[in-house]
Amino acid sequence: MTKTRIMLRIGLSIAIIGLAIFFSNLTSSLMSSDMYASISIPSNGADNLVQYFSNRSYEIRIVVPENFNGTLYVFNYEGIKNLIKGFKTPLMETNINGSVLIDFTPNRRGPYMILIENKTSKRAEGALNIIEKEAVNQDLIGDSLMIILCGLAITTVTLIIKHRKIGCFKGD
Amino acid sequence: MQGNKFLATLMWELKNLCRFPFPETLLAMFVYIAFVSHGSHFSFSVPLEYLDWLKINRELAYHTLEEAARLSSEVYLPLGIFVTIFTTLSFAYEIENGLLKVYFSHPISKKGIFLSKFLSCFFLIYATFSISFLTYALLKIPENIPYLIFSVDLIFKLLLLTALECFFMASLTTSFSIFSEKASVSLIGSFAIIYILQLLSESVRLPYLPPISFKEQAFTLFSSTPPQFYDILNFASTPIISTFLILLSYIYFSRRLEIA
Repeated sequence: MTKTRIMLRIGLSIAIIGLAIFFSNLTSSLMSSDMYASISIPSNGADNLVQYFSNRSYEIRIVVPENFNGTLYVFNYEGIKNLIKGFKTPLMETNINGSVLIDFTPNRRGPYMILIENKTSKRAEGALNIIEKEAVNQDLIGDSLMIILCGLAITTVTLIIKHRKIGCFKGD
Repeated sequence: MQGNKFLATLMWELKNLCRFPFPETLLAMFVYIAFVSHGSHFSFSVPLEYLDWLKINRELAYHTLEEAARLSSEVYLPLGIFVTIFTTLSFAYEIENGLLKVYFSHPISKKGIFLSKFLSCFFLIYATFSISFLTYALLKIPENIPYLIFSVDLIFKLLLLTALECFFMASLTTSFSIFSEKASVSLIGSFAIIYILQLLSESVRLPYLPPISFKEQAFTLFSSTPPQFYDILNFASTPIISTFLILLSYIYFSRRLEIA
């Protein structure tokens, strides 16, 4: 009886964790943030930034000299892994000629690498500004619903076992 | 034999506190605060000449756990409310109603009774606290979970930090609960002290007073540079105060406490 009670509380706790994540996601959907970083791209080289992105819309502003010419790549987790292995599989690839503004919406939260290649023979100093827009994280909602379902499944199974045990005890 | 008695009393105390849905409420509150705080989305750059997958994963695990550690000080007030309730129920309420006499009639030492009561409060908040912040760290980057689990040293740092925070809160409220000997005084007084500490540390910016000291501890533990003398002093201040308070309350509990 004690084991079933413990399992029941574990199941409920898991469901509660899922609910807490779900509601925190809804209430934090009105928050937005921005990030600023300075970049220094060597001539015919590249500079990178590994940035954590939520499943929201982002505005990436790259401020570089007017005569700058290069390429911007955005890699996801798998893309970074592939880049280390030696081949490029970017989520996004854009040519940059001077300062640029790009909209980017990752399909899942996680680390993303922003890689800027410099095709000129001059070192370029600039800035990177990332603005996170207000939105609900769809992937976190999905994950929280999965956690709630897991918790409810454990609770239901435990309740069934408990009732069967009571039934056996009564001689049904 | 004495050890078995102690374990039995500890289990009894834990059951006593778990009669109410306290662990579930604490979990919900801590998880909500951790996820709603949002954190600052970390960023770092890696030298392209030395790109190494393991190094990147280690860096991701470091940033995730460091963020969880910094966020842990956000739950200072809710933690304070619940620890106050737990210690008041375990100590002041039982002293006031004479229920402690029943414990003293059992063949277990006063040290055993004191420790079982204190540890039951500590374990309950520590378990919920660490589970909440580990959940946050694990769900931050789901793909990185295997690497995060194997970063034992970083997980240990997060657990140590939450343990120090819980130890401070539990020892402060326990000592107030024992010295006041009255449930109402303990409940209001303990929470007032916790709140005053927060006001003081935020208005005067004293780094050795909680909750700022907890942030400083996270900074010292996760710092890549070796800590300075003042960092060590700040880091050690709350554990020293906690140990002193718990020893003082144990001495009072075992030698001076009179139950009507």
